[in-house]
Amino acid sequence: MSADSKLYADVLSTFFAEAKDMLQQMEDALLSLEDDPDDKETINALFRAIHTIKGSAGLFELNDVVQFTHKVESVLDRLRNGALPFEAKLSDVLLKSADHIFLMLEYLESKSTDEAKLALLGIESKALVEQLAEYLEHDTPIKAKEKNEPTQNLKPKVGTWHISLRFSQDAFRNGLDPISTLHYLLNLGEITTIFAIDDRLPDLELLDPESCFLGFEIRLFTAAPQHDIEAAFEFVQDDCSLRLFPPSGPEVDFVSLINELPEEPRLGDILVECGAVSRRIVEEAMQEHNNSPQLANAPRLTIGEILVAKNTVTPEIIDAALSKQSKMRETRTTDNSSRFVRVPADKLDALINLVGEMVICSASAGLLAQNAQNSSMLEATQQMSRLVEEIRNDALSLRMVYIGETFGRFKRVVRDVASELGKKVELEIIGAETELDKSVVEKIADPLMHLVRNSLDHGIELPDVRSSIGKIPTAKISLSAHHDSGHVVIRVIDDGCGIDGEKLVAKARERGLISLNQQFTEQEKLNLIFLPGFSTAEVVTNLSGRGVGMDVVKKNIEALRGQVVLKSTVGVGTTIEIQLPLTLAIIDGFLVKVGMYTYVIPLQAVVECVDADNSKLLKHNRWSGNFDLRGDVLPFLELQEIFAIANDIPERRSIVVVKNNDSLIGLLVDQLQGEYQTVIKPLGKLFKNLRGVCGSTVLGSGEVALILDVPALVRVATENEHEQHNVAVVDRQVLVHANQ
Amino acid sequence: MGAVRLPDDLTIYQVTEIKAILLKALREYERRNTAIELDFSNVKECDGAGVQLLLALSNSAAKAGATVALHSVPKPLAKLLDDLQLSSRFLVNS
Repeated sequence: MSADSKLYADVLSTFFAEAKDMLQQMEDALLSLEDDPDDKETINALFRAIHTIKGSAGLFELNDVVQFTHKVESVLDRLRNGALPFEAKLSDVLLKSADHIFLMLEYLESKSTDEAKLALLGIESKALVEQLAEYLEHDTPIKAKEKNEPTQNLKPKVGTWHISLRFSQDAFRNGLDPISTLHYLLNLGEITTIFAIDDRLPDLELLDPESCFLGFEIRLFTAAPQHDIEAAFEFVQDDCSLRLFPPSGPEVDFVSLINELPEEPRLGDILVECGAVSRRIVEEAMQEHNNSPQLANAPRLTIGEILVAKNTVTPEIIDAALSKQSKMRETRTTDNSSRFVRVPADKLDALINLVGEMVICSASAGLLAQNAQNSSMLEATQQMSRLVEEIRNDALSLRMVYIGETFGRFKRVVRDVASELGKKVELEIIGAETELDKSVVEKIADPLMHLVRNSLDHGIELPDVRSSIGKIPTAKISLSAHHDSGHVVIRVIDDGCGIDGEKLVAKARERGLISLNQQFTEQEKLNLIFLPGFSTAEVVTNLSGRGVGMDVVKKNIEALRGQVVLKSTVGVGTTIEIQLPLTLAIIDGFLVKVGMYTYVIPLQAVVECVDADNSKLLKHNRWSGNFDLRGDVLPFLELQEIFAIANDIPERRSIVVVKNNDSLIGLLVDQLQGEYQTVIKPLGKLFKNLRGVCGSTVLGSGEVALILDVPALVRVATENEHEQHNVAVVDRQVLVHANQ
Repeated sequence: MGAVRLPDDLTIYQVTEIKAILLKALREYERRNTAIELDFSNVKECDGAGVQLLLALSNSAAKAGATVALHSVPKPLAKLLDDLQLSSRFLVNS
């Protein structure tokens, strides 16, 4: 039983995940409809999304969700029928509804018992339902239809319905259980007679037990309206053919049923036996069937066509048929979705972790082979390390997701915030297909949100202000992403008012964040915005301006080993550039030795290596200086001094030239040891504040090497000596600790 | 030979294994004319796929001239077979 409840919990959590996906699709569809309100396909997609949520919520008996989604579905149905025009206000209500469904799902998922929250949700539900109702009550005839009670069915008929049901072979595999459908019917009324149709069922030996060959002829005595009976089949309609015969329908209708299922010779008898038709009708049908063989050969009419022909058509049935057809079309168009497999993220993480360990092992095997000078073994290990590298790349690519998904979310934010502030903003997305590690994408979403909101709130001017200064009234925010030397560069660009460096300085002084006589370059002035506790908003809005924005953004990005650079021109706009590593797990490293310690420099940062000619090194102070690289003057850092390694300076040293932002800088090291695949092991809590290194790794020999964080190193070196001292001291502790 | 004991679940997840069990019972009957007797005392779940499988067994057994007896059928399953008006296809002993 506990296995069952676990299964149920698993399925439920899948439902939540999928429903949220659906809501996202719904939101996307709504936003794209705002640009192109007549796009039928999108309207259909919208309808399908909500329909699916309603359907699956029904399976889990999440009645509140079902009731609410039903209202939304009804409105969307009218939209789909063309009875309702798509307009901004409706879009608003629908977007809010999607949000509300999301909140309801969140609440249910959290298994919270917070009464107050529940009550709040209830109130919100009511308010939205009232708003939705406006779209249902424009004209009464359609309203009746909306409630899925066709005029002729307004008075429910008490009587015996005949239901003819054949499941498709894939029904079981699609997770359907005919039994549940029948149980549902039992709730509606009394099943007076039921015949299990097993004509299609092969002999036991030949039976594929996972395919469904079942069918039922059911007599249901009920007062329920047609709509309710059909609801029982709502979730299975893709996987069964269903024929409903109302209590007082003409018997002739059954003729088509008999004709349509020629492979079931007993059907006529069954129908007679259960009282659906008289013997005479069946005989007539058989005769008709025999007399007109061309009818049997004629292309089969769809159920809808037959019903239309028989003049017993009800809007519901046509609707059901249409939605079934559109669903079939949908499965065809989204065929590639079946090529994807949902995998829990932690399984992927475990895999990547293992691959990481394998990289270490293979490096150590390679080292052993090298030391043993066994050439055939060396060859084998080289082969292996090549394969391991491929596995590593493939494993990492599994975690790669498009950043477009994250960008897409901002469409909604920009739309809502802009309209709230009375601004006109167009969002441009560039490079949505840029791939980035999933964990990075997840962590970058929040900082990006802050940046976009800041742009909207502080950057973009009101339309008339823009017109008055000669800008086009509609502002533009662009989100762009692209790959650049092993990094991903994300830019948030707006064409708003820009950031005034002087204002920042004044504000920072006022807040006592800087001293009165400190002097700044333009870039430094802009960087003041990243100081903790800094806010320039004159009016604190609920969007931004609480002063927690930029320093948190910066901290979050740096935690991802990324950087953020702000460029701004007053009156023209602001560009915020974020640089992020592609992945957090493994990097290609370049090994260098300083004294007896090994360090890893991320390979993507390495530009070239040159011999250090001691005579050409010009030292400014203990740890830095500059040197001549083919006529250019480059600064260099002496790692030995920065990390305070007591060591005799060897005769020959090397300089590794690395890229730091847009400039180059040299690192003076004792020895170059070549490339190395580096599995990053994060530093322990104790070393969280350590600067200049961003992690450690275990070498093939078992030795621990620190991974250098070049930009941080540069920052450290340009700051005061006291802090460097800290770095160096802690560095030793790391080594001691890691070697233990 | 006693009744063939069926596992916990007569559901889509297990039908392939159960089909093998049932087929063996059918073959056993054909070879030695022993009755087809199934013990349901362990069965806790049964879905449409399970019912279909029993139905296929019953049909194939009928062709071979045998009846299928179900023993220790749990109440819910007995009710299900009743609801589906399929009880007559088997000898159901609860």
